[in-house]
Amino acid sequence: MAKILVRQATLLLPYHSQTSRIDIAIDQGKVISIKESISGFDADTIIDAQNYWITPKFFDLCQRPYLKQPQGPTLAKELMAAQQCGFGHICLPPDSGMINDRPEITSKHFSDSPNNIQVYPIGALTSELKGEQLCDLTSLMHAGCFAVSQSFYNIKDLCFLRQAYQYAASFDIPIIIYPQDPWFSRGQVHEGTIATMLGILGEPDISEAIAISQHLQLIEDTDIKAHFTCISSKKGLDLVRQGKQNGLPISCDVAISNLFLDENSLLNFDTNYHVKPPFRSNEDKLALRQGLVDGTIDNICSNHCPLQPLDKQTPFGGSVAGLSCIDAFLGLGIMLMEDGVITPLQWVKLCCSTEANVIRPNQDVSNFRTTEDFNLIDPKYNYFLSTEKLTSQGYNNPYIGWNLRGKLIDLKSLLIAAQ
Amino acid sequence: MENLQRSSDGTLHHLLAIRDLDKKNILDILETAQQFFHPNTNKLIKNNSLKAFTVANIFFEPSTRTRSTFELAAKRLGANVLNLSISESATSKGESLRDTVLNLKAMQCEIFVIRHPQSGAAHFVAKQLHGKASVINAGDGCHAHPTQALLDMYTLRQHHKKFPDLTVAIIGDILHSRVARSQIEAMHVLGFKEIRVVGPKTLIPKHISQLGVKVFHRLEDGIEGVDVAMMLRLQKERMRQGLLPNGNAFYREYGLTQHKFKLAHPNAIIIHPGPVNRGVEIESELADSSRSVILSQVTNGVAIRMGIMSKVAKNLEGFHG
Repeated sequence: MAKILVRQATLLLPYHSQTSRIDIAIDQGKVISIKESISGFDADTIIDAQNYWITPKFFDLCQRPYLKQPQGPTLAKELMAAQQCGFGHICLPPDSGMINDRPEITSKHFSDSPNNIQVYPIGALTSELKGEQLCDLTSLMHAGCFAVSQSFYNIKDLCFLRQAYQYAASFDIPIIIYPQDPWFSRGQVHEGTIATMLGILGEPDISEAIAISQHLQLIEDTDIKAHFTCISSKKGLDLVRQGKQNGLPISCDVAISNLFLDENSLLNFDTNYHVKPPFRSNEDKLALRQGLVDGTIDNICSNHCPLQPLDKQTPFGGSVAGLSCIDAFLGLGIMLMEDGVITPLQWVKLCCSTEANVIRPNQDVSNFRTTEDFNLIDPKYNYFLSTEKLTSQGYNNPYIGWNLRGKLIDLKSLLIAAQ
Repeated sequence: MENLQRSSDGTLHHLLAIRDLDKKNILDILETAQQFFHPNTNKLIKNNSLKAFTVANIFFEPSTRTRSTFELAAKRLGANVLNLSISESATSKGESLRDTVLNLKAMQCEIFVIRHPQSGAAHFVAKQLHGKASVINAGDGCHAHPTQALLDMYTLRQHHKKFPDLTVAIIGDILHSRVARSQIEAMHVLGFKEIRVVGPKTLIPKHISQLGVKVFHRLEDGIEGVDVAMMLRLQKERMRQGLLPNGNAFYREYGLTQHKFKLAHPNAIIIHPGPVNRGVEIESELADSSRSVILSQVTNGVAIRMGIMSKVAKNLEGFHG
């Protein structure tokens, strides 16, 4: 079988202070050697990678394939698409298809997933996410969950929630929180100028702020470790920053689309911009970008939610919330670097590692054993995203037509071609 | 941002919202509407300019005035009219709005008048038709009611010589009002002197001042010196719990009475999109007074809708204008 030598790529590893140039020797898909310079390797194909990057596979803390069978995408197909887009580690919220409130559902996530991508199921905190009956949390963890969550089904009874956190904290089980006050959650867009113009019920930024404030109190009270996912507002981010400064065991991430899109995207009622949490104001977007720079935000996730035409081909209010974005994830990341928001090393820390998180489902993303453990990226490759180029089956991609940069070099195809 | 409303040559293809129109567009529509009044008798005239067309009135919400005036407008222009209400249609059997629209297009309806409970529904329908028919928004959720705003502007121009240099107060349930949003947009485009909204905080969107209006929470302050009082009814069918106390508290604080109306300009007039809830937003006698031009609005509504249908039909094959 084929031997490939990748020459002098720039290695980007999270939590390294500088980049380095390396050669990688690959034989039958396995990494034989990684060194500053490799000699004596009889390669079938040599890739001049001076302008390329090598990074760990992307680690996504939130992807929710909306598994609506038989017409929707399957978990396996969407995960394979994610793998082709550079992802190697996917966290599945408890409402990704079937509600993951029993060990057998957790096991099914593993059995339905292809071998070349690692899934990290998140268990449900309560049965059917109804907020009434605590799940058997330790059984879920033994089945392979790494954390538990209520997803967007926020519990109104804070006394019950406190008890649930106390129980979870007994076993050091971390919680992932989608911060949204349950009473404000009917809003479909950000409550701001655009929602006022369009006459759509908005969700104010205080929904997120109130939820985070309450959870910070509960986190301090119960000693639970908590990760806030998909932060969308300046107010929310400021509270997380304050909580971290106060020494609470918390971390947070932001959905990549919230770094690029804001409420102004909604002016033509395009349902592709109907998402949860909503795209907020330009001020919020800029604050989130600043949060990447000052370290308040620990990770960037995709919040990818592939949907079918029926879910979006309705007036705005009747559409399902969610957008498909794994095909644009790399390009958007490079755009952040080109905008000067983050450096390439900061980018890999935010997209490839969970070391800063309190949940830390995987700590060893830099151990490249096969071609499926790393991305070889041409960061200068220029293209327009079109429907023909999509790997995800999601119909709801708002980035179609965007001019993006960055391409994953398909080593598997090169290996096959060289045989 | 894609402008759905206008064709590539700038002519009106759909009427979905006021905000994509400029001053020239609006004045042009008002002038066109005026032509449908006989200069001597002021009666509405008829012609057959839309003889070759079928107008589909698709109403997913109850309506008396709007639906009737659209039907009359279309018939006065010689069009065939198909009236579709949700209780009779396949959508109550689960057919999607998209399929309903595409089926009607297949029946060769050329103009779609649509009223729907969801904001953005008219935009959605326009996108489904791919330029092959025209859409007139007869009210979508809380978003827009552009024909109402246009007939209101026509009425104000009719009754106020200094139009558009007017101070206007929109009073009542602004939060749920598509009429208010369209009126604000129209008044901005036309260059009104001052636009005020008056109501309790629970019925005024928090960010509405970003749309260039002044906010008042006391009726007496908001109505002082205005040239026009635009009254709105409470849209209880769209309201959540807890926005207002029970009983007559709203009428006591915000109901327009003859006594409070004395604070307005001596020549001020009252308009209302209807239906009027007497004793809730307005004193019954005031609604019937000479200061109220509500019935003029109804007549003008037919002319405005005739004007808009004529304009959008110009883009469609078969128009003989």
